[in-house]
Amino acid sequence: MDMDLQLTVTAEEPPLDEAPVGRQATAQACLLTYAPNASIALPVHASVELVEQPRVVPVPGMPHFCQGLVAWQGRQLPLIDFQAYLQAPGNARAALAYSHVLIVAYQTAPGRPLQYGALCAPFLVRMIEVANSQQCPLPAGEVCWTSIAVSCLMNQGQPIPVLDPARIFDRPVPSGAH
Amino acid sequence: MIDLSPAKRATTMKMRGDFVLLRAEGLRLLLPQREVMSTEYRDHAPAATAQAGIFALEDAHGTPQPVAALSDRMALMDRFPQDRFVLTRFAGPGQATALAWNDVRVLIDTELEFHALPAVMQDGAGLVDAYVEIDHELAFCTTAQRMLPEALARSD
Repeated sequence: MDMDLQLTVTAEEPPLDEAPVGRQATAQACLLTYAPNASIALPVHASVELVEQPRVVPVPGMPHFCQGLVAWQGRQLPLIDFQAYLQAPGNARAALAYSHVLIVAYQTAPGRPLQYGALCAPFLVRMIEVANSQQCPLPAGEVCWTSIAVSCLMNQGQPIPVLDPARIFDRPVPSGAH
Repeated sequence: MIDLSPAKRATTMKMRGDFVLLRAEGLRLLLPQREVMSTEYRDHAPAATAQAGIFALEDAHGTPQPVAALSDRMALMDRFPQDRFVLTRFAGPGQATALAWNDVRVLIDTELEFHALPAVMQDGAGLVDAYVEIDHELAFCTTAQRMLPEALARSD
């Protein structure tokens, strides 16, 4: 299995409110485009690695938005198709082809060990610089972003929810999602 | 099979016992050996029935017995794969129907390390609740009681 395109994980970002006077504070975020014209952002410390063409083992009875288990550093990680995650089982569109998966890290509580999961990356994954001034309300609509996102930023005229991976990977599947 | 529920947060545990490893193409299942009632080889091809995914195979007395084959995703296959020669019957609901496998391996007095499925893949009533690694391949842990009613109701 190839593991390349290591993402830059920077050390503690300085708090945005400690920027020098006259200069807008910025931080980095990882932008994952999961469907045409639809992206989410992840905190930079949550985006661990891009893995190219991993072997995926399907799990019998897994929810419609799971692709299977991906082996990574001696662990088996659940792989989620985020586009399907946002859709009801019966309405899910055909999964997009993907050549990479993004390994994400999360904690279930402060002080707990890091846990890992994987998201399908059908499009380019980019690191972007964001400023406080880009903060905006979560998009309204069918998706209940407040249950899975911690914030939202405006990027090139598009609101990008900032995902908390723990809210997806550490929760049992809602009933009816199989 | 084992209690690796998210509530208990036991993500890994070792257990020794008698198991049976069943393979259907890419699907590998691990069940307690005591749940397998019989294992036999088929020597002729099963015939289609009116019920999708269920085929008929005559026994030694010429009586047709239901037989089915599972896909990678543990659903009934509409076409019977010709390379499934090993048939098993299980205790519990659906025991009349034999399932066909590529191969069946019995693991006697074997210690295995069970890993709970990630929380996002569990719903409390899932077909499988854990996996083990055998010969560098994953096998998913289930029981006949959970597998048969669910698998026999699902078609590809």
